[in-house]
Amino acid sequence: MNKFTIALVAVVALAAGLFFGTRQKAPDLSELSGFSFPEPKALADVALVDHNSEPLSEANFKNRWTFIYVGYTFCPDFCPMTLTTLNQMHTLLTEENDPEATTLLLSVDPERDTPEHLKDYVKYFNEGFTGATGMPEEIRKFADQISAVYSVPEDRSDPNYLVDHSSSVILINPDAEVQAIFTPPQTASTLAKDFRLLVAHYDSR
Amino acid sequence: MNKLLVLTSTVSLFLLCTISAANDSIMIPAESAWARATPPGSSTTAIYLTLMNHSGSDIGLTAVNADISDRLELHTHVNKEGMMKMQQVTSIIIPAGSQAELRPHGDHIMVFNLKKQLKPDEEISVELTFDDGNTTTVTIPVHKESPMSGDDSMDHSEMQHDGKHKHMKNKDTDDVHQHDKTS
Repeated sequence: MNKFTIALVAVVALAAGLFFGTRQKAPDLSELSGFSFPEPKALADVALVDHNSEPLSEANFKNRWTFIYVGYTFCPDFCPMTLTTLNQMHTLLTEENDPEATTLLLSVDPERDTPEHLKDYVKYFNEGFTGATGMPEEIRKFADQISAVYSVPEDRSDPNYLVDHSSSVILINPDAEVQAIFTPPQTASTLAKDFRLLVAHYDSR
Repeated sequence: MNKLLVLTSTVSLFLLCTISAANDSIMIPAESAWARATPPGSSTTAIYLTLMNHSGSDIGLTAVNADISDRLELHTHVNKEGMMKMQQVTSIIIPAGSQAELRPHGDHIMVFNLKKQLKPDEEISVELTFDDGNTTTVTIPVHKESPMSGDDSMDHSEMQHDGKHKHMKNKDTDDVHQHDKTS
């Protein structure tokens, strides 16, 4: 072996060491405030409509991180508050290493929440937010996959009817899999901290 | 613990400095009162405020009226089967020598049929009716986010956990109560 070969082997070994060294340094998920699914399930058969009345399928969740909140625009307290918190979280996620992330509001009240109305509503909180809704059975199918529960009243004769719903934030990873769930009370800083941990963990897989 | 006490005293002082009287018995810390600004097209919102009862008997808040809507109700949140359920209540009790906090995720004044969009920095006039026969009108600012740190942003999440928060609340009330007795 000549000196050049030895040097080359050394450089390759060092590079490999660095590469695998950083790859194996998975972050400790025990520090999470939320819950990360050990075996994330892929979204399937998603047939919703977005706030531009365009179809929204599981393919729309690929290649970026998506936070989902399930609610309705008529909601006076939990929904505006959580969407405000998510907006604050996005303003914290502006560091160079932070990957692309977005927020989606799923309205479980399609009778009152038209796509046009949803659009005005979500943009009020953040220009980058997306609203989605759909046929009641499609909403139910999607909500089941992300462990969201809600109950639209049978009697909707009062135009001011209220909808009960869970108030968790769900995180979808860039493979369109259900990665994590954050139960209330959520804060912008803990959501951002959890998100960075989960991204680092995902990248180290 | 010491930190908590210092924080408690600071919060109490802050509250005492900014209290506005609603009537002889009820006081409302000025910065606790706010109405949530609304997105375009929304017909609902919520109003929050803290009511401090300086009298020797419990007082109930029983009705709310305002120009912005013909339908204002007192609501509470109940956690039922993993869902947050809003429920109308006939009154919100402010215990003697203590306080009732109407705040996000808890008791609140529910506004239906909003007549116009509420925009930040506007003010609304709200009439509160109590079961001791008193009625009082308060001017409440409109905000997009909670002016109270630890509500919308909830960055002080340690203070939000029920146990500690209640402890703090009691300490606050005790301080205020003692202050009353000595004055």
